[in-house]
Amino acid sequence: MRFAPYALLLSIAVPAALTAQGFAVNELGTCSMGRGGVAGASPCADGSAIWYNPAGLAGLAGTHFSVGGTLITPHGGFTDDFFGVKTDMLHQSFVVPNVYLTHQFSNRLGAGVGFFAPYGLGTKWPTDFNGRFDAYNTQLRSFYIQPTVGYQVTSWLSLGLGVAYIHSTVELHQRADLSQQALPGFFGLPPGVTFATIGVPTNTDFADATLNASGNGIAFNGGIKIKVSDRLTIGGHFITRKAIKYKGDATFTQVPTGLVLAPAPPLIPTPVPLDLVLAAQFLPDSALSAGSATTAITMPDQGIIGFAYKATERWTFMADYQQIVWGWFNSLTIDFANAKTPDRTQYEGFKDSHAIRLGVEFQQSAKTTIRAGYLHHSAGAPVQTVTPLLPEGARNEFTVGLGAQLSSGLHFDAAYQFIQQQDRRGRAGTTFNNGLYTFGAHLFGAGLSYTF
Amino acid sequence: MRRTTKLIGAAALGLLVGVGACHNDKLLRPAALTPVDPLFDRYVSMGNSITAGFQSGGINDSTQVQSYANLLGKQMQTPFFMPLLSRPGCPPPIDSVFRAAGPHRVGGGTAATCALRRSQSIPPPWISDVAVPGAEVMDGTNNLDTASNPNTLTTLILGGLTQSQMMQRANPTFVTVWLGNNDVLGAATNAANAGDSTKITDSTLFANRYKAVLDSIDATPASGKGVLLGVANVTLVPFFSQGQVYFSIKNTTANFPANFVVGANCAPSSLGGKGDSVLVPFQFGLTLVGTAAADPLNTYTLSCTEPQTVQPAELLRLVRAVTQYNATISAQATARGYAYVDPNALFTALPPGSIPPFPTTVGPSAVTAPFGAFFSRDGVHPSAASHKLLANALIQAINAKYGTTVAPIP
Repeated sequence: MRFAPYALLLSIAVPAALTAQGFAVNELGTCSMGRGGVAGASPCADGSAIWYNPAGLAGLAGTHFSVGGTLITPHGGFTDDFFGVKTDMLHQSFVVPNVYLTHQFSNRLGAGVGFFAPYGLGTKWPTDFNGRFDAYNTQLRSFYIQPTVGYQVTSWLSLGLGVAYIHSTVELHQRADLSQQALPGFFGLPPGVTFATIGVPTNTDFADATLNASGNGIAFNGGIKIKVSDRLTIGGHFITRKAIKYKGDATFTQVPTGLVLAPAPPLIPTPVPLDLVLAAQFLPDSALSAGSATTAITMPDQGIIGFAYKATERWTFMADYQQIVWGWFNSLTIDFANAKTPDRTQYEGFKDSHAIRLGVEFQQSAKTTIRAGYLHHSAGAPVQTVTPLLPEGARNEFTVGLGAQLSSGLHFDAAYQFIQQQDRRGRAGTTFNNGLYTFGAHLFGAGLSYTF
Repeated sequence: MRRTTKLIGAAALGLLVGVGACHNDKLLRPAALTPVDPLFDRYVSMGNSITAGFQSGGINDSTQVQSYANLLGKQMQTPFFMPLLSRPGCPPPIDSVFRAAGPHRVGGGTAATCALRRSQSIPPPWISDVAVPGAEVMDGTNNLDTASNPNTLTTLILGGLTQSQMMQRANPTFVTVWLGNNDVLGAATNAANAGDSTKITDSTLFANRYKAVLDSIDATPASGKGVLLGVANVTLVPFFSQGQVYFSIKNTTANFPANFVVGANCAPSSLGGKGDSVLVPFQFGLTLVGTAAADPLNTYTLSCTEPQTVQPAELLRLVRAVTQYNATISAQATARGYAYVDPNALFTALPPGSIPPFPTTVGPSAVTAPFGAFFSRDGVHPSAASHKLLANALIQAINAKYGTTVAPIP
């Protein structure tokens, strides 16, 4: 019996994004978060320039150590066209950490190291949701540790470069649909015939598949900052893509179908409890025995370019344009070490996503800064691959933030972000779009930074 | 500064309003999936061969879509998913009955030929027509009991579930149930003993099993929303000819071979026989005629006492069973809030001659419509024309019961 590849494990790379385009996470510093994530030309003085623009380390006086985190509470659901029923995502909360340490070695040279997570996702759906055959629990985490230097080349030009070591883990849970599997060689039926052709209904669970895997990689993050005038600065950064090769374990657990084929001589001489027939496939050295599996997911390259304009001593206006090159993510292949489990390639067909970010900072007093921002970005997933893994679409996001100098060295930032994704048609358990995804999230950020 | 702050606030508010007003018609449920009334969001039909689309002794994706259930689903404008069978069928329908070599089936198959379910590029999210040819009421809820009647199509259509279980997977909002015909049909058409009363389902058992089917519907949103169809009087189908018809043909025409004799007991009661209360299955009667034609040296006699014919007492029991079944079904429809449709009223209202007393065995009609326009080539199952009549009768009953506006089929 050859069981078709598991879309479950293939859908890895279509994770439901936490907060931004595709499965990118842009809330990597509380100060930046408060102003709509705008930091390309004027990174915050908390060391987050390591991510937003390494060139920003040049000229960042003193030694800075900052710790922060963003609490993400997504909510969403899928309303099925046929049943008219809305299935809500299961509640989850995520904390995305960021830690930065920087030091100014000279007036021109600054360096530091950052720990952050620019890509990740987490989606959980009930196991009776039709989309469970795409995925019902997907967790992707990618942590970057990035040593970085920034150098002021001239009075108006600064450059920076970071080398990021990436460690990424992925956990996938998916049900398998018996109706789509090839029939075993009994009944005298020709090979390749699926259970659907003998009547097994669509969406019949028979296996629960899990993949736990991890991988590592290196990416480069370069930045540039140009001081056009005392009021106007432009800048940005570009981080290279890295295809992470994941290696891990795939396990398959039998899910009882309860189906018993009624006797129908001569095709079926006696009743056939399908679960007994299928059980053999879960034994060692069978098609669904546990084993190792590999796959690759590309952490895409992305770039930001923007400006910061200090209109008055108190008001600063900023804007960034961001592009994430999801176009590299065209397909996904799962390679099972078990030769009896066929490898599979799944079409993804992502396209580049684009974002416009607008931010404003108001220096309310010497110790207090108020921030606000808005951003809009397009979707990375094409209409064919909006699934429970990635019910992703264009989004509008609104942010507010506050910075407070608590003491001569200690600074506190807080931010709130509201994400409203435009409702988008997608699919769940089908090969065509059969419903409407809704998605939104509340994000709460907090960070402490200390300047020595 | 205050002015700047106000401007920013106004801009932000405008942005929010603009985003909130964003609307995209493409997000709405596709019009093709929107029924004429929410009552029909998900319509499921339970039943047996007629409901499944069985015609001319076979079934395939061509006959299936002619089923009244599929026609009704279309008029409701609701998604209706048939368990389509590949061609030539399972078994392939008969395309020519009266041939020297025996009936011919689509694609040259036999009664044992069985193509599987058709592969569908878009797997149906549920099955709307869960009816299975050969199903008795018992099979509505149980395929594995010793009294059940599973066959290959049970598996191909239900894949290990029962009709009730498959119906429940659709979480239906509306159902039609036409079960019970096979609780008498098997007795009537039994080849060795037509009209075998021992094969008629006891009316009490029938009632209990029928209630079990309805109980399974009660667990869905379709509880009390649908139509129950009565059992057809199977003795009226053109599969049977009265003995007196054979008697009349023999004595008024030269259509039968000279060595084919029709017994005097096949004469009408007015002439001292019982031919007006004996039914002769066409397969038995015409096989006898054919044998006589092929063997002119011997005499072959049709006697209206043969066990292969339905005897008057058996005929009465069959009709009585149908009456009892329909009393049960009608009462259950009333008690549970369903509409009730008596199919017999539909067929008895047909113009005289619509159901031929004897099949047409020569000429073009012998191929195209040997049992008339309203029955297919097996003489038992309704033709496409009858399915249309059935669908319109159901539409009329549904609109009357539920105040809906399902358009009739022109």
